[in-house]
Amino acid sequence: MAERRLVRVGSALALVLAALVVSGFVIVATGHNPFPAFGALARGSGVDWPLQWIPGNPLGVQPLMAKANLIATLVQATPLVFTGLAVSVALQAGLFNIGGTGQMVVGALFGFVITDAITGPFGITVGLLAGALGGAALGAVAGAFKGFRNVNEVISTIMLNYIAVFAIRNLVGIGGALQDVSTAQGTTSELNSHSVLPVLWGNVQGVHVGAVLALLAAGIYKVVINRTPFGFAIRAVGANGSAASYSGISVRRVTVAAFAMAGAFGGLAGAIEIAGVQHRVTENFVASTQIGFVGIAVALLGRSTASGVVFASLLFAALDSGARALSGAFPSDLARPLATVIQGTIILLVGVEAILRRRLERHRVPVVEGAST
Amino acid sequence: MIRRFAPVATIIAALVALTIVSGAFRSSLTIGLVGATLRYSTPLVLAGLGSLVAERSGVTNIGLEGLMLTGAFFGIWGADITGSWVGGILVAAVTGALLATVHGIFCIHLQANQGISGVALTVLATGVTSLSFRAIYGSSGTPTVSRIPSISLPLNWVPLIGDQISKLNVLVWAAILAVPIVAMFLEKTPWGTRLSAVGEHPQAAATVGIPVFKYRYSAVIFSGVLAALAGAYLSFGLLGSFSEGMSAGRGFIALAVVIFGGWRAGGVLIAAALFSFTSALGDSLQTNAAVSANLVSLLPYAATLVVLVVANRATAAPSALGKPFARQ
Repeated sequence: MAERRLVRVGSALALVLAALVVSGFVIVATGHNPFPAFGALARGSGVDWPLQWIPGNPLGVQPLMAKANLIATLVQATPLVFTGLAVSVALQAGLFNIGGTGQMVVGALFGFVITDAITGPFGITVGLLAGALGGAALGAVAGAFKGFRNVNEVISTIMLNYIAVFAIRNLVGIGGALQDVSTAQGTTSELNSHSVLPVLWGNVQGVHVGAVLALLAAGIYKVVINRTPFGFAIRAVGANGSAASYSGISVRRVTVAAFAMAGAFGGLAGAIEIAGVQHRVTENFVASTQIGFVGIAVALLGRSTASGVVFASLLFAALDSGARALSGAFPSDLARPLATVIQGTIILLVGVEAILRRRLERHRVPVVEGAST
Repeated sequence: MIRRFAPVATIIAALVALTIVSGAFRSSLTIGLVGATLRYSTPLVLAGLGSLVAERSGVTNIGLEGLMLTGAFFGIWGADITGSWVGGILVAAVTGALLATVHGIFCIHLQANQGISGVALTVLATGVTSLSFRAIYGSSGTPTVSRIPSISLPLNWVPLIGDQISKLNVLVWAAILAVPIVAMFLEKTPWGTRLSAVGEHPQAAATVGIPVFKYRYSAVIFSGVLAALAGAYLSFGLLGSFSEGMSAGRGFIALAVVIFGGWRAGGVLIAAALFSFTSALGDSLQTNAAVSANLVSLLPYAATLVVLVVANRATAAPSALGKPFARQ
């Protein structure tokens, strides 16, 4: 087992490296030197923050800058863990959940409305639950369409994304029922300062309680998938639907339930992002957020394992916050699409890597019981 | 027999109804609906027909969206550097074919998960087109290029809709003409029959000597070229400019169109016309009935979903769709 885990971690690292090499060529193609660009990317993500304690600080780390960058990375990683789990749950059941965006914006809206109405710590708690429920409801719709009407879940979740996004834009946009008319902009009012998630590290936009909840969610995911009958049913359906069906598992029910659980994670991503960072639902956020979509790359790179999702979230958050800090070495307006190219390459390579591993395992000589260490 | 004529009858009935509605009322709500429906249909029909051929061979191409974006950007770039819309179309077709070949290598040779490869293609193409757009054109946007022209046909005599169909873009006509051509190819030629055999039962097809990989590669590359043309139509046919992510989910709607169309060329046309009519009606509602732009934008996606749920067509899918074939 330990050896297999090592292989898994190693191949994930090799994959990221390969994606960086590919994007290096992309940087060269745009007429820039990839090495300073990658250096700036790394510094912008704040990974150099612990290096300031090397005696004498030989790398010249600027402590305040590095701290701010690292905080930005952690704040961005928080919702990615949830959308990554939203994709992972579905993948375990052999389903492809592209609906993270829709589940997230529904969760954001539900969470905001409930928290804003009740207010205070109790309001936040109920608001997060409402966000999870809203996302779960949207997920369950896709699950039911798949289970009962055999509608391809990739297409249905994408359609539901557009429907959810446009419906909520209609609510919070100018003239919408939830728009704050005093601002003359497409946004709701702001949560009061007692109704937002407390910040643990940093100032206003610091690392908030949501980061702890993200780790907790990853733990719950791990236990549910590996240690409960429901998790077993999900994995059985994912491994072989007809075999699971013959063994008495209702594939339909598991499909709906798995999609509901996926949606709950997606909804939490939105509710926590609003309660922890945005504090209001803006039309712009609903229309342009990439958190749901990046969750796909997170889950694939993290192999749908709890720890894998956490690390992949950190990596993609680092890429994104690092990209924003680029300026001299690489034009900052090109940085965001570059991060997308790296993500796309990683998803593509995940596909290949699975094949290579399968071929490798086919040729491996079976280990004789007792002969191995 | 009824099954075979049902699509044709539906089209005729729909067109007649549309004609009566748009003509008889002559209200501002219905003027131009036929032309708008045709314009919205074109990218869906082109990408849908390509996807139909690929799926008939057993390969799903979820990356249509990415291929459309590729055609949209590199098409207008090609028209810019060659100074001619023909050059733009060629560049779009070649880049679409190249990206589709990547999908082919992953799904056919390497037997990768077709869903993952398709999503990767879309993410990659979104990044590459945005990056290239910003690197080459920056904040000023794409320049004025040689546009795909419209052709005027002496069709003004047609009652009620003559003025709407007498001047249409070359690619609108190409999309309409492509429907019977693809239908004939799939249903009446030996290549079409073999392609379907490859999609239904690749092992059996291979046993009788049909080169499965060759058919699947050709089908996937064809779908790439058509999806890229759909994108080219959007950027330098319809609008004359490129914007990031401009395909706006049309690639995914094209996938739904194939399913709703029951994996037949005529069905693709009907399904595309239905969704496009919803979009066109939505536009009209926005301008004439002051319905919110966001709700109007939601309509075609909701219609797609409703139709998929009601139609429940999955049984018409090629048997080996999405399953890789291991060459012995």
